[in-house]
Parts: sequence; structure tokens; C-alpha cells
Amino acid sequence: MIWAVTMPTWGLSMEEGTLVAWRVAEGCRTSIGDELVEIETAKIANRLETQHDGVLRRQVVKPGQTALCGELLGVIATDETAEAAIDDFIARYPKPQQATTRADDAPSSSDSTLVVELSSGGWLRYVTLGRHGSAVVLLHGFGGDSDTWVFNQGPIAEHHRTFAFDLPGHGGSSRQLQDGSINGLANSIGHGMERLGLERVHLVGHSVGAAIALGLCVQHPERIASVSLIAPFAFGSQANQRYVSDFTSAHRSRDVQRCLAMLFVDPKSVRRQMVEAVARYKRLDGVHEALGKIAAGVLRERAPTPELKTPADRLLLIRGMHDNIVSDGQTPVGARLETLLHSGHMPQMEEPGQVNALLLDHFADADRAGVRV
Amino acid sequence: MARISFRQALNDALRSEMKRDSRVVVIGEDVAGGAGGSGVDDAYGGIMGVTRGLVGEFGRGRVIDTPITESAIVGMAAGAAMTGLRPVAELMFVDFVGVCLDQILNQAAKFRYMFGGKARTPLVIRTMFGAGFNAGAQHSQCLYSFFTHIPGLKVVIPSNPYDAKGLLIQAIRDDDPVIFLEHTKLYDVEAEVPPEAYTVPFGEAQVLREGGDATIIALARMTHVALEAAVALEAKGIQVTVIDPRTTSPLDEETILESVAATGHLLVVDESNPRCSVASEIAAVVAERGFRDLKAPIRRITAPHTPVPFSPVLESAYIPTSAAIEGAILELVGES
Amino acid sequence: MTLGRDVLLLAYQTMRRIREFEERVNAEFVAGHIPGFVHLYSGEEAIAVGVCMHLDAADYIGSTHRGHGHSLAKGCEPKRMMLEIFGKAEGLCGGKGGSMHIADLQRGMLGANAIVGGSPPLVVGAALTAKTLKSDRVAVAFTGDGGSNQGTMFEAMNMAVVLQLPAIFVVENNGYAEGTAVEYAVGAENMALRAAGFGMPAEKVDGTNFFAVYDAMGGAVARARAGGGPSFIEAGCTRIHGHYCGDPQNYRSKQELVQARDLHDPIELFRRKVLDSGDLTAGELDSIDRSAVAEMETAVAAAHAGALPSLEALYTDVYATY
Repeated sequence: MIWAVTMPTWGLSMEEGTLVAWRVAEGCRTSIGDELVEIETAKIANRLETQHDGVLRRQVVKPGQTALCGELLGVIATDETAEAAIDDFIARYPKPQQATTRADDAPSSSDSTLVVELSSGGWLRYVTLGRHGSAVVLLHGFGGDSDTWVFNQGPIAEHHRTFAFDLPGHGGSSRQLQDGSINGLANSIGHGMERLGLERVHLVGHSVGAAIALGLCVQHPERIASVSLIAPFAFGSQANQRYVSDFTSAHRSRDVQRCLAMLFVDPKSVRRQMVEAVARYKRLDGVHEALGKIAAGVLRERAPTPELKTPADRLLLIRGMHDNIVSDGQTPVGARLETLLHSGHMPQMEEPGQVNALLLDHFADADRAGVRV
Repeated sequence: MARISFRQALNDALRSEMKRDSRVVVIGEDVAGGAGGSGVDDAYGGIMGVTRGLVGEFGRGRVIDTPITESAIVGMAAGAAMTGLRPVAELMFVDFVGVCLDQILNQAAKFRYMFGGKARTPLVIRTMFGAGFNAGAQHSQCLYSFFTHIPGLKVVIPSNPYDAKGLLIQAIRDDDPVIFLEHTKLYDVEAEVPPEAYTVPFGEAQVLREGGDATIIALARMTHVALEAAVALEAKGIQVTVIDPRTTSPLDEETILESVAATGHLLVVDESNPRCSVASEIAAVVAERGFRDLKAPIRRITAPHTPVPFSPVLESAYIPTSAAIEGAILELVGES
Repeated sequence: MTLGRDVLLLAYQTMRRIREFEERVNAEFVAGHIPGFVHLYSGEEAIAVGVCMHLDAADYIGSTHRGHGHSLAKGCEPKRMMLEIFGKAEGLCGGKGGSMHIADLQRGMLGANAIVGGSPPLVVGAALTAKTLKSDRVAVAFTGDGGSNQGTMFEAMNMAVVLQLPAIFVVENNGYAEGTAVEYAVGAENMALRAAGFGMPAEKVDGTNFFAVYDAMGGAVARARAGGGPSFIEAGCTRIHGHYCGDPQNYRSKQELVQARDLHDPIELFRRKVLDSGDLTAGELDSIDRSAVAEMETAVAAAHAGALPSLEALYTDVYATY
């Protein structure tokens, strides 16, 4: 058996990546879940994990070289596969087309980026991937956008229909924020879900997104199949006030970089283009006000502990061991809590393999039980 | 996000700021066009179309065509800025600064300081610069080094549509006199630009490309030429960083020094004449503050110490080229 | 024209204060207490006062290097002015401007200008602000006969006419641009005639006659406030001192210098007139004289006592933000 190791596509705008280093030598055995290769883009760096047990027979792309998304990086095969078969596999492997010059009217992201209008006059941008399976709604955190899920949405979409919303005031959603409270934000998201006809969803919320997810549980318990809270601002957590005010007021790229570095265990994983993207967002008219409203409405006090109709075993909490941004809350009795040892405030980006596996299991459990919360 | 031209990005910036603040007025020669004539109003919308459509939306009270009278245009704009308006005056070609230099140098730039901090001069002077369209010696210069030299002025030089819009909005909201320079050959360059208003801060350089072998600093049109050279160099196995300062006053020295610390090699590309140029200033700053990080002498690529010639073959030889940049980098990193 | 007593008293008082201020500056400069250059306004007081008495604090003026008289007439405090001329921290400009760059934007004084011809375009800008914001204000540009030949003057005048702005151009023709007589330097018959060619009403008056200046300015201000556009006033006068303090004035005959003091002193001419008509008494005028002396003595004493700017002030206020 021969399997291709290819350059992944992280997020919608990635076109190519650079292979930084192989973690497994040519000719060595590797197992599912091992760290296989380090990749970096202008935006982010991450590791690919081995998907198949076997031997890394060939490193096709060398460290320092750039490859297009989908391009063959290396070959894993079982012991007995002949060299000639490997050569043949490599020679025939299709090379992806380079998008050299984009047509003027071609959108920069794929057609999976859409907008749902709200009756308040605003709108929510969302990214949708995946056509089959139960619906998963992903809610990012304070100052972020749906790019938070760059390593998650793809893998989850292989088994589920996914919808990653940009929260009001964030990303491509409208800036005007009537109500910066958790209820207000949950209201908007709930409205968006209704517009899209989403009746039974698995909710995934990161940081403030987790608080919003819980708000949705209170507002629409009948629509929620399961809740997964990542680095949650919930159940009595406190937010790092210094981070909140620094991030809200950050205007220069250096200040943005300093803030973003606080989110990750390894500050070097924050690349220049990520800083630039966040800085550009911060400088849009209205963003400062929107973030200020949310900071004042949500983040000054401890996170609320709502009365939930959710059975505790439908709740999954995932925290990074080294989270500097939100403190531990009171995990409800019976809920599942997973602490990831190598993550800070962004486990979905820092240990995506683990997070994706935990989420998919959690969704599957709830689907099997067929339970509504 | 839509792709729009550099020209359209500037137009968007002016329109949105004029909507937001009724004190913003546009003043210049043919910024509408057609004043007093028998043809149409808005006959030009600016000689390059940057101000097209504004007079229709805001009227001739806020989009003011003038006689050909630079010292009165700039002087009037400076006096209006001091007394409560936020004028965006146009100096059609930067080469014309000779006839209004006093109003910039001795008046607008110095009010705040001379008057002990009591004056506020929120003036923007937009002006076109650069060679490459056979316009001859008196319509092709750069001259931003003059303005960079003058205390009290800010100098802004966008290289792409996204920066053009954000920097112009920032300039209009800024309370100091800003000289905003637009390269003539960039007006048709297109890029994705957000439809809403946003700013780009002054004094923050942008790293356009990262590479560990050498640092190239380039301004305006030269950023595009440097990026071309970077692609060619990559094929030869050399990776360069390309940095666009975006503003020469204030100048982001930190980003430049950090990059030189990482690469050890510096090339500055400047379309202007060499002596006392911005290239010289950057070289001096790095020589003074980054000397120990340098593995080779600093190189500058500029135009020669001549006026801009007319004949196209001569003008092409005047303007720095991608090949010249490539050659300089290869020499710098020792692989000629 | 009959003017009320209060107007006459104010006119005399302001002119006398200007004269006393300038004579004290002269004395202090000669004694070596004032750095740089000063250019004294003595002999021209009727123009500054006749013009500025029609203006509110909110109206604008732009001045020249010979700006002390305009500043006082516009309401600037003599003590703050003197401190500025002495280069002290409490001066109107923090000691950063000096005599040639005195300004008080709160009183609409847009600055003395060391660039000859520098003010007119700026004043046209202030007039543009007034028109755009519909504030009913007017803007006055003072220029000398020398400055009236600058290209900026002509460009500003044309611009004011083309845009129909509430700007008033007042040229103080004291006969000399530095060391060169106006008969030599101005090719036209007179400056008012030249200005009229630009398309604005232009008048030539005797600038040593307060009443003539006041009258002409009244018409110009009314026109400007009513939206009637710019005007030009040429006011002839004499300067008693040199171009700058210390100027030996070899370009003027001794006889001329004597006549400047004896025959063309606007304050003396005013005094004689109001006493002859009985509008004011000698006692009132003398009392004003004494007050002016006392006021300027206080200003000079304050200037001597004032602290120097701190060294940090070298670096401040280049920009609002950087």
C-alpha cells in the first residue's frame, strides 16, 4: 500500500506552504498520530501528523522548499512495496494547478464564504464546509474570526456540515453592535442559525465564543445536540484584563504582535501575516468601539454560570495547560474536561490533531444517543 | 473583498472622509474641472481622475477649483487649516513645489513650533511624482527627500491600493501637515481593498516579503521592482526581505534595523537622485545603529545625479531596474 | 464723520500703548536685553488701530515682521508679548517664536511673519474658513509697500477675488522697503490702482489720519461681512525708526527723519484734532499717556524677571503627534 503525504490547505486563502523540517527520517517507521513534518506559511506554522502506519519511504520535498497545496511532499508505504512502485507513484502523482493570476472577478476565498442578513440590519459572515452529517457551528473568541478554525474546520467537515460564524463586530460581519452582552451576541448568532435553517447543531465555542455557546443553550436548548467549549470563558472564569485592554487599544503591528504572542505557548508560531491580518482588522473604523463594547459588556466581570438544561455529559471542556488569558472556571459536575499539556489559550491551533479527535468523538457520542439537550 | 485601483482607493478615502467630516475640503487645479466653462462640471476630476465625482456629491463649496496659483493654493490651505478647516490641497506635480515651497517650509511646517504649541495645522498636500512616462525633467522628479528633511512635516508614500486608502484616511485625520506622494505609474495597480474606512499608521514599515540573505528597502514603485528582483533571486537560491517604509517621516527605523540584524546585508532602492536622498538617510541610520550587524557595506541603488531625460531609451536607463537590484544583491552576498 | 467719545478714547489709548511699547522695546534692545532683530511700528499706529477697531476677537489678522502694533491692536497682552520678545518661557509663544513670529490664535492673530508676503495667502485661507463655516468673520492681511510686490500678494489677491472671500488687504506704505523707496520699487502709479486691476474695490488713504483709515476700513468690513468679497486699502505713513532697530537709515535724509517725528506723527495729529474739536480734554489724554507708561513699565519688568525656557522646550511641539 502506498499513501501520499501532501501539503495541506489550512484555511481558505492558503495557496502554498514551506516545508520546514521532516520529523521522521527516510526509511524509518512511523505510526498514526506521530509528528511527521513541520510546515509553515506566511501566516502560521504547524506540524502534520502521520495518517497511516508504515515506513516513510521518500521525502520528495526537502526542507526549505515551497510546495502548492495538494502537492506531494512524501510517500509512506508498507515494508514490502518495491522501489520501482514508489518511483512510479511519485511520477504519476498529479501536480496541482498554480493560481498565478486571478481573474479580476474571481473571489479571493472560495464560494463557501457567505453572508446571512439579520433583521436588525446587520449581517453575519460565515464559512461553510462539508456536505454530509450533522451540523456543527463554530464560534471564535474575542478579536478573532473564523480563521481560528483553520486547522479544524477541514477535518471536521469530512464528517459533518460545518458553519464557522464571524461574531458581530468581527471578521466580515457587520461592525455595528447594538448589544455587546453575551445575550445580545447569542441572539445574533441564534438568529443567523435560524435564517440558515439549522435546527439541531453541535456547538463549538472558543473563549468568549464558549460563553456565547452557553448563552445559546439557555436561549434555544431544543436546538443544541452537544456543546464543546475550548479555552472557555465560562463558569466563573476571569479574563486577563491587561490582555483585553491591550488588545482593544492595539493599533500598531508591534502591539498586536505582543498581544497575539500571549495567546500561544510558543510565541514564534505567530507569523507576520497573521499579525498583519489582525492589525488590518483592528484598524477598520468601528472595530475599536465594537471590541470596547464587548469588553465592557462581557469581560470585566467573571464569566457567568448559566442554569443549563443541558445534561452534563453533553458538555466537553478543552483547556490548554498554559492558558494566560482565561482562568479556570467551575467545571459542572459530570462534564468532561480535557487539559492539553502543550497548549496555551489556542488549543484548537496548538494541538489541532488532539482537539479534532476529541470533538469528533463528542459529536459522535451525541449523535448516537440522538439526544436533544 | 473587491479589487480596486490605487486611484479608486484614493477616491474612496476622500469620499468617506468628506462624508464623515464636513470640514474636509479639496482644493486644487482642476480637482473638478470645467469651472466657468461651457462644458461639463467635473470635466477632469483631477488630472488623473483621483477626485472624480466628488464635486457632484459635495458641491463646489467643498471641492474648490483654483487658478494656476500654487503659492495661494498651498498658502490658503495652510491658513484654512490653522483656522478650523481640514483641507486636502493638491500640488499637481511635486516638481511644482518650487513655486510654493515657502508656504510648506516656512509657514505650514513651522506654525506649531513657532507659536509655542498653540497652532494646529491639519493640512494634507497630495502630489504626484515619479518618472517613467516620458514627461521630461520638470514633471518626473521624486523630491520627497526635501520634505523628509523639514521638521514639522510628515511624509507619506504609499506603494499599493490598500496602503493608499488607509494612509490617506490617516493623513486627513492627522493634525499635522502631511505631504502625501502618489507615484504616477501606480494609479492603475489593483489590489483587494476593504470597502469600509480604515487607517494605516504612520511610522510603521511593512515587510512585503521575508528572506534571510539580504534586506531590501524600497519606496513606492520601487517596491514592485524589488519584488520582481526577489522572485528572480529566489530562482537562484537567494532569499531576500523586502521592506516598504510607507512613511519617510516618521521613519520606522526599528523594523529596518531588526531586518538588517537578521540578514547582515542592506540594499536601499530609491528612484530619486542620490545625493542627500532618503536612501542616504536610511543608509546613515543603519551605519550608525546597525553597524555591528552588517556583513558587507551598505549599497544604494538610485537614479543618477542628472535631471530626468526625455528620450524613452534614456529615461529607462535613468530609472532603477530589477536587473540592477539583482546584480547588487548577488554582489552583496558574494556570489557574483 | 463723528465718532463717539468712547471710540476716540479707545483709539488714542491703543495708539499710545503701541507707541510706548515700541519705545520701550527700542530702549531695551539698544541696552542689549533683546536677542535677534526687532522692527518697530512707531509712526504707523493709526493704521493698526483704525483697522482693528472694526474687528472682533474672532476675526483674523495676519501680520508682518513689523507686527507688534497689529498684535496690540488686536488685543494681545503686552506683558506676554514682551516676554516673548525677550525669549522667555512665559511669552506668547513660549519663547519659541520671538518678535517676528508673535501669534495669538485665540485672539485671531495668525502671526507676525518673517517671510515678506507670507501672510496674504494664509489670510485668504482664514477667509476661506470663514466663508465655508459661514461664521461671518473677516480676515485682514497687513503688508508693507515692500511686501506688496511679492508674487504671493498678487496670487492671494486674485484668489480672494475668484473665490469671493471676506479678505481685506491693507498695505502700509511707509515709503521704504528696507532701504529702497517705494517710488523706485513699485512700477504702478500707486498700489491701490494696481490692486483695483485685480478686480476688487481699492482705496488709498492717509495712514497718519486715524479717521481716514477707520472710515475706509468700515466700508471694507461691511462689504466683506455682507458677502461682497475682498477689498484693498493703501495707507500712507512714515516710520519713525529704521527698518530694524539699529538701522543707521542712511537712505533717508536728516531732514526727512526730523519731519517724520514733527510733521507725520499720527498720535500727535490725532491729539491736536480731538483737542481742537473739544471732543476730549488734555487731562484725559495725559492720563492715558501715564497709564501707558506704567503698563509698559510693568511689561518690561516682567520680561526681565521671567524665566528662560527649559531645554526640553527645544524638542516640544514640532508635531501634534509623531
